[in-house]
Amino acid sequence: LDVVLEALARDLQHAIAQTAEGCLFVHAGAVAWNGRAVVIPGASGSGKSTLVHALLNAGAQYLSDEYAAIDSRRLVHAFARPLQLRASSRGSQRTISTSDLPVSASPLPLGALVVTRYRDGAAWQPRTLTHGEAALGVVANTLRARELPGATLQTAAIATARAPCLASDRGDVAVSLPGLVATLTQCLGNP
Amino acid sequence: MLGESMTIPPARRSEVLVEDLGDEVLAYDQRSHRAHRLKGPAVVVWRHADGVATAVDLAGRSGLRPAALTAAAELASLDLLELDAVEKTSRRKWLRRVPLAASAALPAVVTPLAPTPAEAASSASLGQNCSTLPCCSGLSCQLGVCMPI
Repeated sequence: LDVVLEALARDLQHAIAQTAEGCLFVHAGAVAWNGRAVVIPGASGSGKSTLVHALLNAGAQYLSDEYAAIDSRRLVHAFARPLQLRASSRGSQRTISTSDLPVSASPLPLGALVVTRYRDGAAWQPRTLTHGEAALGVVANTLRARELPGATLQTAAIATARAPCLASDRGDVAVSLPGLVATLTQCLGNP
Repeated sequence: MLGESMTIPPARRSEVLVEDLGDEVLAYDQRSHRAHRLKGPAVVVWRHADGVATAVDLAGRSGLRPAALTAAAELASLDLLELDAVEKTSRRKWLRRVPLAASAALPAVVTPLAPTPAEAASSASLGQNCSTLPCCSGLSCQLGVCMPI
């Protein structure tokens, strides 16, 4: 029964993301950091959930490990669901309930966009993205980009206009986390 | 070869949504469902290619004639120029240049595909294909399909 309920919950979340009005649902991990949202767009298997979990342990608050819901005022809304952590290379997962997570409930202005991908042995070496690179990073991970391209372009451009947008490869999360935390602290202050 | 005095085909405006970001342009092609980031000379060509201007005309704006030509060929390779609007001989010359543009060392256009909802999903649920996605919690991949553990 648990498996069926979990599948149903996942399908409902996906349906909400595909039909919600007024928000752009970006496939991303998202945390709250000193009153602002940090959005980490990424495709399947890019390690967003692991990174979100590590940021929560570093003092951030939870918004989502799956979707950043961004509205036209640059506010990022929480889409908190149980945090799914990959427990093995065979695909099994460990789940942490939202009741065990520090969830941030209120919408927050986008504070930083972090485009990162795992690369074995990579050091955290962030570079600043251009406005176009950042906006394209959002568009490429937006759920309804094909269906609502005009709204997607516009919201992505507005959302990334003023926030610092950074990119870096990262290695193992334990190695990369201090660098990422230092970057976020420098941009946004302490969590 | 394309001469620098040859007319650059006009930028395609139909079914292309554009967000102007100053130094860059974000373009979404509704025919191919691809998003493009135009930068440097590609922005100049995109803004000023009207079917009359040549690379020489645009050189003053982009600073370098070969760059303007290469950027125009890149845009043509992505179907962002109206090749049908130029006469047949010129069109053939443009089409010959397109493969060269695709191998440009520093492309002036960057293009990821916009994802479909299925592609954007993070993990597969009960009964879904798990050949490319991991299964959700409580499921395991059995013969390519997510099944209860």
